[in-house]
Amino acid sequence: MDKFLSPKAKKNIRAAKFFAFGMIFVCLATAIVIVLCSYIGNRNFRETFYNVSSIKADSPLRVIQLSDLHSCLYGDDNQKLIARVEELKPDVIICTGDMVNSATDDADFAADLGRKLSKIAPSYYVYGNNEVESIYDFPLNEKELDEHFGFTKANRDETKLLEIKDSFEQKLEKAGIKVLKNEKDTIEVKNMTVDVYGVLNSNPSSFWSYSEKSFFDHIYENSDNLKITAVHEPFIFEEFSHDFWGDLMLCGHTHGGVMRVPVLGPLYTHEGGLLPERSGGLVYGRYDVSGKPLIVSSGLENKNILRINNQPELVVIDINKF
Amino acid sequence: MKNFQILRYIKKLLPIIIVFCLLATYVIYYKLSSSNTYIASEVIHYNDEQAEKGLAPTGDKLDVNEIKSSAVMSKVVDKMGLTGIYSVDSLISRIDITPIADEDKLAQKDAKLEEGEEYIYEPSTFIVSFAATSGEGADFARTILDETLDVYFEQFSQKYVNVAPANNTIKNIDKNDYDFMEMMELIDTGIDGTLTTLYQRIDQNDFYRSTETGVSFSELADDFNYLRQVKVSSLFSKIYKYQITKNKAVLISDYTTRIDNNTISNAKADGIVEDVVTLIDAYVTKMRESGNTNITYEYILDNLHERNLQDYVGDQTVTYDELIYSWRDHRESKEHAIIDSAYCTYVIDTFNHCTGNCGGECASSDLTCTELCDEQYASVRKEVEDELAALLEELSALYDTTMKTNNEYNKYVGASYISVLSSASVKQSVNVPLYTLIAFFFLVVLCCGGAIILGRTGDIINYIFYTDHLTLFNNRAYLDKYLKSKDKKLLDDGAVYCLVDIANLVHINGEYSRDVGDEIIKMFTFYIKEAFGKTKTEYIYNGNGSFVMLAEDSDYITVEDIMRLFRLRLDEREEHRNIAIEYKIGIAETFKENKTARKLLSEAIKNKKSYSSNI
Amino acid sequence: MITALLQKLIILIIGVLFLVSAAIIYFRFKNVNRTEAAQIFKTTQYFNAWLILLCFVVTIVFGVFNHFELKKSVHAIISLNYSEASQAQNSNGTRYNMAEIICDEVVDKAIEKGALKDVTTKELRDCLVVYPCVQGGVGDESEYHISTEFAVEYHASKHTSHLDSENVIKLITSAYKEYYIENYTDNFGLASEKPNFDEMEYMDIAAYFDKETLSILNYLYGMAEKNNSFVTENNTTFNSLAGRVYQFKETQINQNFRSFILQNGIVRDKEAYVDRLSHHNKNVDFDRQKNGVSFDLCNQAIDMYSEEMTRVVLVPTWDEAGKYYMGRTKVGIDELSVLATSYSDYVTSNEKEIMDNNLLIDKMSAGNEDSGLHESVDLMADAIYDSIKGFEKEAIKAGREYSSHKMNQCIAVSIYGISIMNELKTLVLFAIFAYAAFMLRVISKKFPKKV
Repeated sequence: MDKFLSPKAKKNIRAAKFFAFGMIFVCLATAIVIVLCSYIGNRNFRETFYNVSSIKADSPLRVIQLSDLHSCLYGDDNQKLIARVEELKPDVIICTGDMVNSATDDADFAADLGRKLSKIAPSYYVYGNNEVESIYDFPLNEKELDEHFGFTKANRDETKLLEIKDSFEQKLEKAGIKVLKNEKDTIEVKNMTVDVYGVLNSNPSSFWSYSEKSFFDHIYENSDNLKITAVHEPFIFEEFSHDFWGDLMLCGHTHGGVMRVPVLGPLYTHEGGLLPERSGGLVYGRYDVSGKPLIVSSGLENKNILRINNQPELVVIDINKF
Repeated sequence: MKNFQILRYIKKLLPIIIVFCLLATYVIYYKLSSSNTYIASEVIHYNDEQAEKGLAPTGDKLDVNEIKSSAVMSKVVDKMGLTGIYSVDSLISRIDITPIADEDKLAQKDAKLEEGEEYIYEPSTFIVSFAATSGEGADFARTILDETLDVYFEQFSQKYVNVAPANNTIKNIDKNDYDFMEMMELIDTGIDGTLTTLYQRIDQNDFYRSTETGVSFSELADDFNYLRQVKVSSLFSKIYKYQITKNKAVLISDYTTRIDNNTISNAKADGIVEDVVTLIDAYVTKMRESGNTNITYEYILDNLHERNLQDYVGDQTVTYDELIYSWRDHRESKEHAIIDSAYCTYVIDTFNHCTGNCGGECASSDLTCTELCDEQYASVRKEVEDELAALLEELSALYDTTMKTNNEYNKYVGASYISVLSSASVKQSVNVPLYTLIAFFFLVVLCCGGAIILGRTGDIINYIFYTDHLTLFNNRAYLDKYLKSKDKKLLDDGAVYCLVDIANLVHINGEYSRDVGDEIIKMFTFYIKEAFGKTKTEYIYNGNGSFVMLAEDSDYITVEDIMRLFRLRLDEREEHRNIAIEYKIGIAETFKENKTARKLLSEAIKNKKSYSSNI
Repeated sequence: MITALLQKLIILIIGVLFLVSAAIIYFRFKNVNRTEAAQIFKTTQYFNAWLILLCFVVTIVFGVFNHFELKKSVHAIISLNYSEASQAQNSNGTRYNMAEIICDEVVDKAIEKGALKDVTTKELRDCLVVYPCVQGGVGDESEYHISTEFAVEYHASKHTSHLDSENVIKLITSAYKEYYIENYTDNFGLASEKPNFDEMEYMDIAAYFDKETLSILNYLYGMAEKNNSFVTENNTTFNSLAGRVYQFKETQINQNFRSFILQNGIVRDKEAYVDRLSHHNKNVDFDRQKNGVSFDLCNQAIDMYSEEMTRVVLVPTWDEAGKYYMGRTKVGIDELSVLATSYSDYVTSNEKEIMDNNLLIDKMSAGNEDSGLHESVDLMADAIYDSIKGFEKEAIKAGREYSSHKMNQCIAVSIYGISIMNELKTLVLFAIFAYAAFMLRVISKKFPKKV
């Protein structure tokens, strides 16, 4: 074939090949550089500040959210993380799940973290899918739960779920951090009464069936209290609409979409697929849900996933009157 | 002389023109920027209707220059932490206040004055400006202006609206050497004064609530009243009951002195009262005798119109009333002094009182009866000291809140009396980009003009000094200059020198005339020019019919051809066909052997061949 | 610093290359004729793989440095949403001062909120600039403008380059909002600490309750004066809430609590309390005497006033409503009469106070310190205190709802970080410029030095 081509054509083909290989090489090199820079950058976490207004806030209140740590370390025994949380002087600390890879293997890690956090401010722990998987031997969807307890639609008793004792919860509470499993806790902070509610079964199929009563208690009782709702996955907000979910909602799980492309946004989540935000997914940042703010953290994990343009984050939320 | 060609002159110096224009423009831009000033301006308007008469709300003259008074500016300097960096005077000198007169009102004023009527109008809208240097920046100008007006608004209210202060008169009284009774009296008087001020505020605006402190004047008054009724009263009663004093003798003598002072002042007051009564009687008698009192209530003053006659606009007290008030004031101070003396006597009696338990010892002692014989005295005294300290702390905090509330109220009132019509805007005194652009264009025009002048001057100089006026070729002087310039250089390849001499010019001049000779020269000029055409050649007329052509980018053969063409044209000429012209042509080139100009010229001279043109 | 230098260096190199190549072409242009020059431009290979690659690499390198440089600057817009903003005022009616957005107090607060390290207030403040988004002029009335939107810019310096720019601007705006809310918005609230009733006399407790309820009433009446038709989420107005508080005060505090204490002579320390009231009465009596004397003297002065000096003239006058009437000139007895009336009021007030205290003295003296009613009174006091706190909470909530409705979030902040589109635009322009420079270089080499 070559012998039929003119010298000029041959030259052009060589030039085109060279150009193509050159471009591929440069693109690969750029990609490697980006990945390396991301890897180095992800060794540290960044702080993301949010401002939320609520007329229930008599004075400024600071909430720090930690999520999806997956047993990672920032400094020896997470010294860096703890020190930074302490410097930021929160009034309430909420861990929105997946702080460990396994509740059985990493219970001590979680307890140690909980102990240190609880010394700084009142701290709460909500289970994520990792904790649930290692504590419960069945998924917490409606079908499995009904099967496990032998319930039907008519005779469901959501308190039964809470009767399942787990040593992880005991360990955490002994360390000083309160575990919220479809329950709320009321605290007095800066002369304000704050209700913090943690969702255990955030699977949309079982949320209303097994959390409705406790959730309604949280949002409708003592309506003058500041209501914070913490749940690991944001799916219930995607799936259902309700006139009031709380004055502030906190979620994690999505890891911010792992890779975030400028303009396009988060690239992929396991449940939402490619470009999940485009199909209405709640993936990262601040959203408005029934007129109140929902914050989805991108989490603190910095190993086992390749974060691009998505540094691990510590979420700091300042709540004020206006 | 060469033609006047603008583009040729400009093109010659174009790089220099561009570089110079750019540099000069940059320098101008830099100078303009560094000497530029930023002027921040704001428009304020006094809302009170008195302002249009040039008066403040209290009726005093409204002096707008107070905005740039040292009282205001020193506070601004303090507030902005500029002490030691800027002097108050330096900032004052940069503030300018310009009135904006309402033209309608001015016209009205002029019309009224023309009719002989009085019409008072002063502008109530002003532009306040502050100028900052370019080094300080626009931000500085704006900030200083904002802070100045902030302080001024507050001071305006303090001075003209919200006059009575609410100062803490009891600060650190426990650090001075007051006795307990004296401290309590000072506290009581202080609270009384503060309450008077607070009630005035409440009258002005009962519901005003400070956002900084969260309290209103009503609440503050209630708090002071509560402290007075509960804690002050309680302390007073303990002090009286247990005769608590630091030094009985000093206390007794203080109150005794007070009684004595009252007695003396009362005696003085008696004298004054007598004199005033005498004066009043004499005054009335005189007024009666003069008939000034003979007016009925139906008397009407027609031409006196008072708009919005208020209870009190300026001091309108007449002399007789002043006398009556003087009588009353002196009598009152005397009577109050008597009551005060009674109070002092009560205090003295209380501290001198002996229950008998001390066996009369207290009368000759510096200690009171209770101190001598009541075992509870020490603990009660400690209790009183502690309660007093706590009360002072509570009062300090309350005074602090009162001061903050009052200050905020001053700012609020100030802002309601003076409104801002236009927020601070900053303009540069010089439009730097515009002027730089103008300067750039001006420089370009200037430089081009300069280039044209230089070029044309060059042409003129060339024409005068280096051009042969007969042939319009370069002249001998030019050839000399040329040769001198090429002295130290070797000519490049392709340089060809060609000489043409009219050998029998002298003969022609003699035979026919000089004019004919000149014409022959001109003819040679024309044909040489024609022959060489557009080749890049320098033409020199060396005088005496000798022509030199210098071609720096040619070759021997080409020039030989040109000369052949020249000879042909000469032979075919129509002018002076009857004249036999003899001429010589010499050509030399540099080829593979670089030569100097002189050498090449010499070679051309050597290579001369003779020709003649006989027709 | 290094990234800024490198960014500028790259631009400088490309720029110099461009200019030098252009200059070479310009100077060598005269060495060729037009046809040759056109031929050079025609035959140049504009699509050169090497050059494109080189341009790509240089652009990427520039892009990285440019990105780091752009990250150091960020700006935010602060919008004032409350109604008073259009009059250049804060929401409490005082003059608005834009400089407060980056004042030392706000910057300190921001540093504290963000726990920012290794930076002083001055260093951070020097990196901030604030200016109005739109500014008017003073030349003509049509140019007047009150700014309600302000831009805050942050440009990192060498002292602050270690801080995240976006976080800094978020902290500054958040700190300013907090500062503004603390200083310029409704902050009503009673004392948070409950006083120790065990150490207070019962009548003093009643006086304390009275004071607190008056405080709440003053707040509610003040709010009603601003807007008496505002209805809260609980369907109450300020006036209706004030009515309930007033009724509570009259019934529970004055009628029930105070009367119960008075009629039963309930007192903790009878002797001390009676002594206190007695001494207080003594002091008030002195004041009463002074006021009485002042009253008498005013009357005497009026008697003294010669009738011939009381003759008056009538003056045509306008009143404050603009109505025309015949006013008469004032004389001294007018003022004396007014003074006498106020002194008389003071005397009456003093006498009433003395009488009230005497009644208290009588009742307390007759009462029994150990009557056993103290416990029930203590319970009543606690219950009344809780009710007052409840009213306080309701009043604050109503006030806050009103503020929230009126202020429309008070201050809105929009943060503008790095715009990806702007960055891309810059990169594309740079790439074009770089490629042009490289091409010019190639072309300039084709022009001969000299024929």
